[in-house]
Amino acid sequence: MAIDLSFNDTQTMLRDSAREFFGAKLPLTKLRERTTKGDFSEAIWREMADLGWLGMGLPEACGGFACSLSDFYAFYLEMGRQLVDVPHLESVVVAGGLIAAAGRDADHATLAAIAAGDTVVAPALFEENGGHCADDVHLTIDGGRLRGRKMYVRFAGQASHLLVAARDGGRLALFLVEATQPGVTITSLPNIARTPLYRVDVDLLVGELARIGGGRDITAEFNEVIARAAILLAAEVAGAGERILEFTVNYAKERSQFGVPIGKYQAIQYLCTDIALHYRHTSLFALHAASREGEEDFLLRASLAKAEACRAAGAMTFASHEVHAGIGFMEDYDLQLFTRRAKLWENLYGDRRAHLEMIARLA
Amino acid sequence: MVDFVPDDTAELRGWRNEARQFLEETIPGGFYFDYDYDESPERWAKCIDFWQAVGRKGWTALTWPAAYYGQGRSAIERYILQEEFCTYAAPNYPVIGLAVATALLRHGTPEQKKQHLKGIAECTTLWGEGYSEPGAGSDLAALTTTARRDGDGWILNGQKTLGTAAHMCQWMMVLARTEVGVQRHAGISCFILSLDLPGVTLLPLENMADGQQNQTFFDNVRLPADALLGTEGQAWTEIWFGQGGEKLVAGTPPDIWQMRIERQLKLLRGYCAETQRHGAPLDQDPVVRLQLAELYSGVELLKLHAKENYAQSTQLDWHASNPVSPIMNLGWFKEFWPDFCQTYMDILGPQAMVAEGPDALCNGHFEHYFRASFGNHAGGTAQLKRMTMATRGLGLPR
Ligand SMILES: Cc1cc2nc3c(=O)[nH]c(=O)nc-3n(C[C@H](O)[C@H](O)[C@H](O)COP(=O)(O)OP(=O)(O)OC[C@H]3O[C@@H](n4cnc5c(N)ncnc54)[C@H](O)[C@@H]3O)c2cc1C
Repeated sequence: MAIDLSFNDTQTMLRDSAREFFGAKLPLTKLRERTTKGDFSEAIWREMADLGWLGMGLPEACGGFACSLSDFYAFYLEMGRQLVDVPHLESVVVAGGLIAAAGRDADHATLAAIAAGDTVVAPALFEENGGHCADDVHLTIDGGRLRGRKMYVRFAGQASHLLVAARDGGRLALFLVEATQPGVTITSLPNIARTPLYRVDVDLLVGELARIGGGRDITAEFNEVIARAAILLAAEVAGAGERILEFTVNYAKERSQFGVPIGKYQAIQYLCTDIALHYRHTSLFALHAASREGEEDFLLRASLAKAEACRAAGAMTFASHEVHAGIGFMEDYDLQLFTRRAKLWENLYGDRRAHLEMIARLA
Repeated sequence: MVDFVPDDTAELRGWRNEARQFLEETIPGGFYFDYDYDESPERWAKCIDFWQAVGRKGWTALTWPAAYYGQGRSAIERYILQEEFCTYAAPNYPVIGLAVATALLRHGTPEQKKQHLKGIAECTTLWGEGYSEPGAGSDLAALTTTARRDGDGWILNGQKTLGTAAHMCQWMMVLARTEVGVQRHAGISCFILSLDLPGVTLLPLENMADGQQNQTFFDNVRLPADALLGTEGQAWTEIWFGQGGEKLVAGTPPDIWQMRIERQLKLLRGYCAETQRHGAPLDQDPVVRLQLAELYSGVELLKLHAKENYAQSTQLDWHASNPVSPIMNLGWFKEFWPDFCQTYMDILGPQAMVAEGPDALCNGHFEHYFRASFGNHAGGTAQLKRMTMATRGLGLPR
């Protein structure tokens, strides 16, 4: 095989149809409107189900289709470019991925419901320590009682189910529970990214049926799926970076001060090329990591991608603000939407420091 | 003699105590408020109340001449007062009244001084700044708002933008072109006008940190003769340079706006000392310790720059050896501020994303201050400060 970084037909098709769909259905103006209207649009979710996108990577028997991580990458570039805020990563990639990897035949009905869009699962994995590793899970299951607190659970307010990670003695376990039931308290966390984040407190008796994956430890599957999510967030950052670069460079060409386009000043050229570097670094790392799925260095590659994405998210939006100066600080200007989202990207599925730690450990 | 201590006499220490006591009585525990990033009517009212109380003490006009509501006190007393206001987290004087006062004292007619300085000293009249235009930001001399002679008055036409809190102000200081077609910097004049005049309209521009700037439109606004401040056509050197524009102006006391960062650092250090992460206080984490040390030293530099600026306004030989320094504190602040915020957000982790509610760190102060840091362009961009340092300070070609 030669070195070839071009998308294949599937990837091109996914990217193009995602760009068209999200561009038409979820322009950035919709993101501004959403604040009062719940976590996400059910109608859009239905349409995504009809397009088959909720079955990405899920077993064919459950209505899904095989999808490499590189295929996902192509799709997630567009999600980031358009700042799409629907629970695809949560319900399909992470919850679906964990259930598919760790679950048994009995769990296929859940996967089918995810792929059909009937069930939306919000993974409730991480806690107040902010960590993204299996070791950071402290909520316990003891005598069938699931008790503790989960933090930064995205889309919990509109999800039908939660997938709760718990410590069962020394093992890591997962439980699928209904989101709306006594014993589950979901509290909104209004946040800089204006994405639906929640604190989830559970105190529940759960049956063995709720357990995903029997009694065994699922740390390996967990790490694998979290690494996938980290790569796809990096893909979102790359997609957003491409767009930030476009509108920033355009602005630098259009805006004149002292009689010349500001893009003529080297100070501005450095800032624009900062964005270009960060965007390309992130996309290279993410593209490479996606291609390493199933290989021995996969976790390392994932951490390289996410560590870079974390730095890029802050650095690209910062540089764009510097180029835009006053106008970029205004709420009406789209840049602030990216600046807000950058903070989510920096923190979800491992922050820069956590991934640098992983790199130090694995490299 | 090298001496960094401002209050080196018993008298000055007494003055510092008096200032501190006033603050403790007037805003117990401090009162965090930044008018650029806050639209709460209650907090605006509290800020104005505070500055009216300062006004009753005569301290807003501390160094002004007695003939114009001032006390004729010394620069070092002003410096100390301001330092106390900074450390006690007092709110900034709302909008640009103090800059207007400086311009009035230097260039106003006796009648203008009588008419306007009292309202500024007592904080009963708020002033906005109408300099920037859609086509004239860094390049302020590209402004196209015009004032045309009409009898002994003027007719004002044009559009200003990014005017901080203009909707809260009664008056505005505006730069406009009185002679069209002359060389860029010539022909610009300064006007002071009531925002109630017929033909003035405002359009809000919300910013991403919960505050409001405004577009201000002037449609055939009739200005009286005494709206002109200073010499016709000379505003560039008289007003803009006087305010620090493109010139290196020394003698500014520490700025509350800049020193907000010190309060934020205190909050951050307190949080890191109290918070356990992975079984140890956060401030003992080997990486976080060094990050905190970097932030601390950056803030110390800001304070030293303020002292250097003060020294420079009184000792000329220092100026000669440091041609760039007067603008360095601003330049440094504009670059340090966003970096400071990004670093603490990294330290604090996901909880710093939470903006309000019981889970928000320090009532969301960290989150809000991070957003505010993208407003670092107010008063000129970091790039322009560098350009001024390089050209006017270091003598590099323009
Ligand atoms: C929070 C806030 C409050 C404000 N309040 C007021 C107010 O009350 N009244 C008022 O009049 N204005 C106000 N302003 C406007 C402020 O003065 C301008 O934003 C500032 O001067 C920059 O102008 P600009 O935004 O048009 O950016 P531009 O001048 O368009 O700059 C865009 C980019 O080009 C760069 N650039 C421009 N020229 C050069 C050059 N020669 N060399 C290198 N780089 C260059 C800049 O550094 C920047 O990176 C406010 C701005 C903000 C953000």
